[in-house]
Amino acid sequence: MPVAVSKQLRVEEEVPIKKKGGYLLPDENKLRRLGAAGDQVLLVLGELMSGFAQKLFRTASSVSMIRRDVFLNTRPEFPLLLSSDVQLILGQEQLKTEIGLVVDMQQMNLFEGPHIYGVRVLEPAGYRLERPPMDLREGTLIELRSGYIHHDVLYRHTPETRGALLDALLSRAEVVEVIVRPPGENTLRKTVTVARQPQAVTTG
Amino acid sequence: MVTARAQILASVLRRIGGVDLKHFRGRLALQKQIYFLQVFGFYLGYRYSWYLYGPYSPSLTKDAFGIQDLVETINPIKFSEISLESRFEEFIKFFGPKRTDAQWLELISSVHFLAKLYPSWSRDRLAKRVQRKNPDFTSEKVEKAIEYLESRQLLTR
Repeated sequence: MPVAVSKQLRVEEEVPIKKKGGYLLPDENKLRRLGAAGDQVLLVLGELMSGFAQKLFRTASSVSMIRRDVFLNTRPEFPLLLSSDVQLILGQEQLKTEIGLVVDMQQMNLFEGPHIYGVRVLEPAGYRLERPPMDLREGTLIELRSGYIHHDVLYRHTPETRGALLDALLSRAEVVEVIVRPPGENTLRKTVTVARQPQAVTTG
Repeated sequence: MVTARAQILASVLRRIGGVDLKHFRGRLALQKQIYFLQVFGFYLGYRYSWYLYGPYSPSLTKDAFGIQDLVETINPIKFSEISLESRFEEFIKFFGPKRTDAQWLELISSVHFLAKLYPSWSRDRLAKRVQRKNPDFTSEKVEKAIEYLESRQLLTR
């Protein structure tokens, strides 16, 4: 699985720990900048501190961090929406799971990592969704009625609401287009045939 | 609220034999197992940085703590695509009896991470960098790790 690694590596040597009053404390600002926001800081803290204390006795060398996603430019095989297959056949639940999975991969910087730009019904032609499942903003409603969900809607709502919207959109859809950007790559247009036969679900 | 990613993580962990978050070695093993899951092409979008024990993903730690109970009850992951299923079996076989050997996992993941980031580095330089992290990782051990990864086509140098 060859990986093209950019030469513009951003390498940093930094310890997300600061000295204060003779104590070693987590540098929360630094941790946040590294992408460990909010309660993640607390979870990571234990690992860092325990490791740091052990390493302090073991070696005097510096603790290093490399800010770089080693998986960038690696073409995933799963989820299928990020794979190299341009045409897919997925069950409705499977497609919802895959969309949810990619949405959950959102990075702090939206231009990094995978992203879904939208889901559009291609077939049946002239698709109309008569009864949207909930009250939505006017623009969103118009798009949904015409068979399109914009990425803002996918990312803004809770998984439950997103699931309800996708259920409504996909309920009569036969073929949809998912516009997706795999990690570190250009945007792809995936054509997904929504299988109405029960498919083995990827989550078992 | 369990996200789709966390659910899939739980079903992956169920299939590969559960997760031990009570002990540091268990958490370390989790980090490295999921690192290699992504190396095998099963991308869950966990971003890894170079920490004290090699590649580490804070968001994976967060998700793992949120799904401890779910791992006990969820169905193990199973892929309908035959190619994906056989790839996943390769991933499981890759660890063999060392699935929970934290030190081995730390070594091979560290070697893999650095080799991917710095493809031009010599083996010697790679070994020195890994040893800076953990002096127990001798040149011989690093060499063995490289050979192990190369023999499974996870590293081409």
